Amino acid sequence: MAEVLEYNEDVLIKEQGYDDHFHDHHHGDKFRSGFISHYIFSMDHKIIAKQFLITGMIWAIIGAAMSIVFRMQLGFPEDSMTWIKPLLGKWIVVENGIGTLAPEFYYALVTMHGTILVFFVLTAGLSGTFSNLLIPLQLGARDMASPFMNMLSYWFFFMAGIVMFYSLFISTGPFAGGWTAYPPLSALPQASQGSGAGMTLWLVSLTLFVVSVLLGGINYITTVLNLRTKGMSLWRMPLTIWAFFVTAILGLLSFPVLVSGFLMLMCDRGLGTSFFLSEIFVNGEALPNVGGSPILYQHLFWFLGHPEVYIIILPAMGLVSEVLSVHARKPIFGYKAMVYSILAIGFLSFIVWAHHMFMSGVNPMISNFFVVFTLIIAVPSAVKVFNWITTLYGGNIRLNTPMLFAIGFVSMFISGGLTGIFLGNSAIDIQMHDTYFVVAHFHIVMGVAAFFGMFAGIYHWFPKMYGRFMNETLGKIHFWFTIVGAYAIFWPMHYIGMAGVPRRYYSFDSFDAFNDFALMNKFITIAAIIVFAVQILFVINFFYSIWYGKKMKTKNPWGATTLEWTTDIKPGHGNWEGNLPTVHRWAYDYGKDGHDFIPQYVPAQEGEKDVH
Amino acid sequence: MTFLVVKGLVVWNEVMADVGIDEEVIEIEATGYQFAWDIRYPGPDNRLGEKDYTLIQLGINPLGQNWEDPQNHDDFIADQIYLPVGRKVRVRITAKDVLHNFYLPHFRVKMDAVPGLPSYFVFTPTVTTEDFRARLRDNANWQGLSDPEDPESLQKWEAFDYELACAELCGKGHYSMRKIVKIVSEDEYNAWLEQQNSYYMSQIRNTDNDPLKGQFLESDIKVNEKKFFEEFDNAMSSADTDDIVLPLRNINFETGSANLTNNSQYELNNLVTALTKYKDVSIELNGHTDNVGDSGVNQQLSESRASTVLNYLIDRGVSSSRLSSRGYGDRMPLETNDTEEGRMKNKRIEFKIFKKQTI
Ligand code: HEM
Ligand SMILES: [Cu+2]
Ligand SMILES: [Cu+2]
Repeated sequence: MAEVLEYNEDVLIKEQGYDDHFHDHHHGDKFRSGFISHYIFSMDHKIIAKQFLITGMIWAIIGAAMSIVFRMQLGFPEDSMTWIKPLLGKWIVVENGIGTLAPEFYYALVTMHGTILVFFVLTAGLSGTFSNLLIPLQLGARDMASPFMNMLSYWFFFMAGIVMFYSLFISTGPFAGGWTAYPPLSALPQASQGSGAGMTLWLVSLTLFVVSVLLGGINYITTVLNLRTKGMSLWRMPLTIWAFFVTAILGLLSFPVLVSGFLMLMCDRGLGTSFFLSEIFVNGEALPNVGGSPILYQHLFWFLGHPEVYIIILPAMGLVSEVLSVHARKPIFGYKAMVYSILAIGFLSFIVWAHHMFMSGVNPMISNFFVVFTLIIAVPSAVKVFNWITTLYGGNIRLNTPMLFAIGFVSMFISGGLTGIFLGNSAIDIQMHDTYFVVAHFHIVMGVAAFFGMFAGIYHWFPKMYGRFMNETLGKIHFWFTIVGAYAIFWPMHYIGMAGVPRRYYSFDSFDAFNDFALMNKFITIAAIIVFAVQILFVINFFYSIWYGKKMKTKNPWGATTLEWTTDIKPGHGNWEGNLPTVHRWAYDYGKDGHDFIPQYVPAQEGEKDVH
Repeated sequence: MTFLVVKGLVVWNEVMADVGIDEEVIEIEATGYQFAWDIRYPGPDNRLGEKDYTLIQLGINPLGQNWEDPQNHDDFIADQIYLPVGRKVRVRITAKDVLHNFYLPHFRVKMDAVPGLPSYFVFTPTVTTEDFRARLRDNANWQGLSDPEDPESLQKWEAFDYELACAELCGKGHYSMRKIVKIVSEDEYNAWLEQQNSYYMSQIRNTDNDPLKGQFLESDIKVNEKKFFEEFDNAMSSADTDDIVLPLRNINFETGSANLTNNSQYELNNLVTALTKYKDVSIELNGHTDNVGDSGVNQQLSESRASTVLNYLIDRGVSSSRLSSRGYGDRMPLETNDTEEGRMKNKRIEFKIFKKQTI
């Protein structure tokens, strides 16, 4: 058993740390003046992180509940839905005592589910939470570069949520044209009820959301570049920070393109322009618009949309890298290769967008390039997978809940990455495009994997956030039901998809080719309900543990090397009393020279080799 | 991995290649709209006529075909996709309102239908519907009644059909855009083609929706011309030495006047051509009317109409010495004047051929 290196933390930080004259400024306790400014309009990155997390959790419950309703429709199309009429009102049409979900609302639910999960949960809830929590703490910074902008970032997200939530209740219903919102459907209220006021609110909401992402992103980038403590060179940053950093850059470069697409769409909707409209006859009337191209929107959307999926997965990758290394008690394998992979993925993610458009009517010649670039992404992805597995190999593994979820992430990422390689081959995509195969692919590789990364992060850093631990038993139940359940939900979808069953179908009855999978659909729905119930268990565990969880007695319960574990159990504003820790080594000195771990603030020992 | 990429791209480019210019293909057109497909066939000329979305009128001109384009006149809209086995097919894919996707799950065919930007997909069906059913006969999954409620219904494998679906979210009825696809032998295909009626001819021709109402189509002109010369040539070659009277069926006048309608020029020109060919004949033009109105007026009208035609021929260079004209008023009806139809037949111009110098 490796022993812990002898060092005195107090001496190293409080006395030899970096004095940034934090307490020389006497402008009052700007982070903790009262309830409102402490918990609501807080500028403390730690509180903002919790705000993002809890808001994200609320949205996750709403979004997942929607999926249960539409899964009921797919799994049990014959059963009455009258029981949910009190909630859904006119969208459940009751005839002869049997309630049916209105097709419009089915599509509204699918659309909202996608939008909410992709943007509000897996972008804001994941990256918003952990970038905020960890960037200053792991870099040894007092807070973000601009705490005020950081606060605005949350409140713009909050407003986006309010607007979207409101759109659920208007009489024409929320937007119902798919989370990708392709025009002309999204541009023409005549074509679909949801494309009226619902779509207007959708656009407003997501535009507010982008403002939030940009305010956050600028802050993350600036903080990483400027506020690292003494000794924290870029190459000493933990992989979490690298991931958040590149994520923020991707967001900054791609979200504005989405907004420009949205603005053009708004003009088409309200001002009579024809960016995306041409030669349309709808609802008995020929529209005057000519010369636009609906495909242009798809380019703009996916130019964001593909980086967006990496905006979702990179933070999860960062969290998982960290958790794997800490709980395997081994340095991450191939740290530099990991960083270069993140950079390569970030770069490549900008030149593969048209793999979502192989069958959209673009010139098939163009697809050749996108096939090649898309499949090249598999290389850095594979490097990462290889390194995670090698990190685990021969490790002194603690199979606690965060570790389980981190390993689950790797499993999901492999499964989903493999199906990505199928889809990236345009010849195969002819058959797979817009089928359940795609649904299975992206739920596994992005949906479930990102959730696993998030769960690993929550279980791992919960003590840092609340000074208590989450319940391990409930955590393990949560993990095992979720991983088995997630595969039970999405594995069969690959078969259904390969058989050619299209996604976004309200009912399969009218087609002989698609209606043969009733049993599988039932199975999937039941699995989804179970997994949903288990997530509720997680939520209970989360809130219960905030107040009643096992108390944290030492500062560094996991024996981690990174700086966040040198702050007080409940760190106050500015994170460190007195001096900031200075950094003398990288973040992955586990099991080095017979020591279990050597924190980053410990200077090189006499005779120590390979100090990174 | 490299192999996968290269092989994948080779296949992709083969599958997505458009047809060559002179390649023999069947081109059909699929138009998606909320919430169905319209399938248009090019008809005997093998060409799909022009479309313009502003011409679309529900129930009258569902695809916005431009009827002034003769290529549209033989196009027909089919309620199923019928295709012969083993022939290359190019589907022109379009949409009227929002995005749709032309999806044939059994054929691995999928392509978005985009308003304003036609796309295409080329494929070759290789197994007929019949053969495919036969293959399913021994498959355990395809036994049992196709409609469990109806004990008389076909077995599942007997009821199998290829299907067309939509694979791009297009609104609340997206899941219901089904059409049946039948792959048949070349003979069955041709027999089926025979039964189809051109949309224009069956629904539009000479209705108020026809911009060419009352005008001759090129095809009409050809038919009339052929008929005219057949009759004329027959008359000339017949051994009969009596003078022969032939009708000028497609010469019309404005009501109550001797002004020729525009359409009349074709028949008149045919007559000029005939007279140029048979230099030795002379003709007498005869005018007739129905019995409506005063018979003195009718007499005058018939005379002036006959001489209008005569003058036209002279203008075109036929020597006046070969021409004469005469009006008969309402004295020589062909049929009863009691019906509208009869009266139409009785108003007419004829000509009598004098084969003076037959050798
Ligand atoms: C080896 C890597 C990957 C490849 C080659 C790949 C390829 C593809 C392709 C070609 C499609 C389009 C399928 C279609 O619509 O027909 C697709 C869809 C998708 N992929 Fe991936 N993918 C990979 C990894 C990922 C990752 C890591 C994520 C997210 C973290 C992701 C998220 C998605 C999403 C969200 C969609 C569907 C979007 C929609 O249509 O709604 N993929 N992928
Ligand atoms: Cu993508
Ligand atoms: Cu559709």
